[in-house]
Amino acid sequence: MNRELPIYLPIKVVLLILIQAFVFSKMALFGFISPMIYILILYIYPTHKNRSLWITWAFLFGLSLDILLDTLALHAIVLVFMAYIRPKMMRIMFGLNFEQKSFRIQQAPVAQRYSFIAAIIILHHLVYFSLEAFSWSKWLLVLEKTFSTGIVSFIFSLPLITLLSPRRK
Amino acid sequence: MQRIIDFFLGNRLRLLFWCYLLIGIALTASENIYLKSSYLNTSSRLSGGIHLFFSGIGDYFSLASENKFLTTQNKVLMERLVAFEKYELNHDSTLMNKNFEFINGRIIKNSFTGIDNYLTLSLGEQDSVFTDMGVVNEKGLLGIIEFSGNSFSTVQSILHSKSKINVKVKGTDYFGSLVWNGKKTNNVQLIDIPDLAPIKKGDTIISGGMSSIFPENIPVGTIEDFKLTAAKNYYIIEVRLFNDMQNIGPVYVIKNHLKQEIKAVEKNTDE
Repeated sequence: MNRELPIYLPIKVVLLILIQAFVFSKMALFGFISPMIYILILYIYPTHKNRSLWITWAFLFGLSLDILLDTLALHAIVLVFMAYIRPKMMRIMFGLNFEQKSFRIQQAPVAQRYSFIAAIIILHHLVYFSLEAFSWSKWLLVLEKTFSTGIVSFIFSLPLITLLSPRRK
Repeated sequence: MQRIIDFFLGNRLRLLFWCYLLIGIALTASENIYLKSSYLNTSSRLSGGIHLFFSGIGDYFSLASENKFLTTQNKVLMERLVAFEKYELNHDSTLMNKNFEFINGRIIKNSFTGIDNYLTLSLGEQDSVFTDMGVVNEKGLLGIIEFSGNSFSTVQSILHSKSKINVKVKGTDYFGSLVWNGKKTNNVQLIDIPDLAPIKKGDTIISGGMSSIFPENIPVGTIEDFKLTAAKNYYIIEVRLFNDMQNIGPVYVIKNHLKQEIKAVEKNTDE
């Protein structure tokens, strides 16, 4: 089975959204942590596809999650922001390799891939919880939530990226 | 003209980004009630069906425990009924408080790990459920209806940064406000109780009945810990909820038949 076929991408994305809405968002680890793994969309979506289309998709993914989770448009805003800055983050993380047309995240060294996932998770959680709190007075709560949820999201993301990535040849 | 077209084409990514960002912000932070209620109505209609389906599957597996719970509750109610009938023989039943009506429903979606949490309820305007009605279950307070659609409603949970509910320490007349600091899901904070109040760990907190939303004496939780504020004139009390907010079960929406009258009187007083 070739998991690189374009048809598998929408299936993976829909699966991520459903797993997020009906499994991870219903969790409360240690009484308050609900991992956000849908951010892996930023990892599995191909890097050199049309960027306007990518931002549009990011908005729609986020909005569908918002509709399922009753979070107004918080996920849509954060996902659009993350989609917009993803190339800049990748340039920092992967250096010149990213400029090559044949570049694929899945083929980058493990350390770089894990650092990229950790970076997108921390930035995503920081923006999300800041928007949710929407108040300077709650900065400590925002940081606490960002790091505690971020660590758990990262731990859950590792097995998921193995499942979602195309097989290495 | 060509320059304008070139500008838009050259900056289409940035423009698209700002466009989606503004749409998102408008849907999230807008004060426009029409825009917000149309969006919430559409989204609750879309997601309500999906959540109803999945919660239906989940409910099927919890039928046995639900049955056990209902039998226990029935026993308690039967005992109360017997006691009440004895009371009614000796008293005038027309003097009883019949202003509050309970409408039973169920929660089809529950969030508890955010800073602002909401519950989705399988009742809407067609079931006579409207904004600003209280929601409870047999263990205690859950929240207040924030938005009511045709078949579904969203409830602002007591685990919400803007939630502020009038409660009191049982057996006293010290009233305070129940708020949430965004941390533990089974703990809330009680503020505005003066330092003169005779409180101790384990005391019960109940609804104060000072608003038209909740009647008096609805259970909330027990005092787990308390300390004085920096100014040392009020307590900040840590309340352990009776409810397990992750596992709510059947709920009741409280309808106050005198609400309109109370509001009209209050409005006239303000004027």
